[in-house]
Amino acid sequence: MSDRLFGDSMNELVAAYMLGALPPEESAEVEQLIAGSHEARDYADWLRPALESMQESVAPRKAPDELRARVLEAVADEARAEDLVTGRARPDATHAPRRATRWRDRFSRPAAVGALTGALLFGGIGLWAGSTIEDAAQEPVRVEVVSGTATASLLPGNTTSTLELNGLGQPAEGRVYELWREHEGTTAPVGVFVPESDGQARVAATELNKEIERLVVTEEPRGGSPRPTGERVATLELRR
Amino acid sequence: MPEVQAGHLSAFEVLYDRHAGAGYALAYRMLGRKQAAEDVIQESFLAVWRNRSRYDRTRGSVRSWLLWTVRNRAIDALRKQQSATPTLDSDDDATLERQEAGEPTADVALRNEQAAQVRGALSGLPDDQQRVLRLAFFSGYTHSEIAKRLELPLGTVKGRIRLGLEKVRTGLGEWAEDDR
Repeated sequence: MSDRLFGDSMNELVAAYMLGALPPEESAEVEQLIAGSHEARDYADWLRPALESMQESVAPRKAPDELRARVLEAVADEARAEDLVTGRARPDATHAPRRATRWRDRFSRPAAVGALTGALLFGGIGLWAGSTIEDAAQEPVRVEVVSGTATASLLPGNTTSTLELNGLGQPAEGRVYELWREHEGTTAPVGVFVPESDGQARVAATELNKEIERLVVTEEPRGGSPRPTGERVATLELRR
Repeated sequence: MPEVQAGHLSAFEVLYDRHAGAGYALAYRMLGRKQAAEDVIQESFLAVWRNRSRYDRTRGSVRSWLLWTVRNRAIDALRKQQSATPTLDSDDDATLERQEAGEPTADVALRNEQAAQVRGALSGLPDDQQRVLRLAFFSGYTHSEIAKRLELPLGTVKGRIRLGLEKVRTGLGEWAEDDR
């Protein structure tokens, strides 16, 4: 079948990609090939059951009970964090292990607020304090990148502004980026984030009022820091 | 899955109970260490929760998506360990098969049958093809790393991967078609 679709060398690339046997840069090339070629896509679709069955080729093994509790608690934590910032009521909240005290403790620390934001950056979209980026106004603020290699744009909103960053690269293992606002020599945390695989990051933030002069991005330990500790990877001057 | 996508934690618990055993077995098979396998499972289920809105059922089952996530994270863990290489003993699967599955359902029986069929398809491959598939799939080696490790030309490794996968796919026969 495969030889009829296209050459062996192409099939070999797709097969190696499907098996996960390509380094990241080659994988990206093959993804483009599959996206742009019906033959490559058909071959990949035809092979897929072989890979899925290899995943199933290991007989199930009972996962430890304590792992179940740990995983579900971690997920419940994230769900509660979503509820807190969106104000939504979760229909089956009673199923989640309750650790409200711990969450209040966490929210008493500025760094943890950043961590919460990081946990909520799904798909590059941030949610913050009950507002979504959809309420953003349409008057852009000019952002000048005075240090670092990133490009940036800011869309201010009535309650929430959205900062879009490109070209930061990924932070080191176990670390995240943290955004800070600066005004008259004081620095305050805005939120933590990790760019998507395509390098784009969108951070939603409140309290970016007209007095804020500068935004700074540093690399910090996972969960963020109460004050900058890592290297500045970008400095952004806001021009209104 | 729609209920998980809507944020229902109770539905997520069901998802965990259905698929954690398969994920844990795969992670343990690849990493060979209980703690590392547990870490991968926790990361994988959290990733599924965080990315639940991106799940597209037309691109495969939830189980496949989860197991693919587990495998990718296990490969990341393997590559970080660098020196850690799971054994390739043919007895591994048989040992795992004797463990309590913990999912006494008809689905499990079917999956076990399918798993046995795949193991049959794998073991029916020539040793050279079987070996490169196992090194790539379970140990996370790239084709060039396999070529270096086995002292083979890269083209030979690529060819064995293609031929081996095509034979496994062909050997799956009807259930793969029915499962679509």
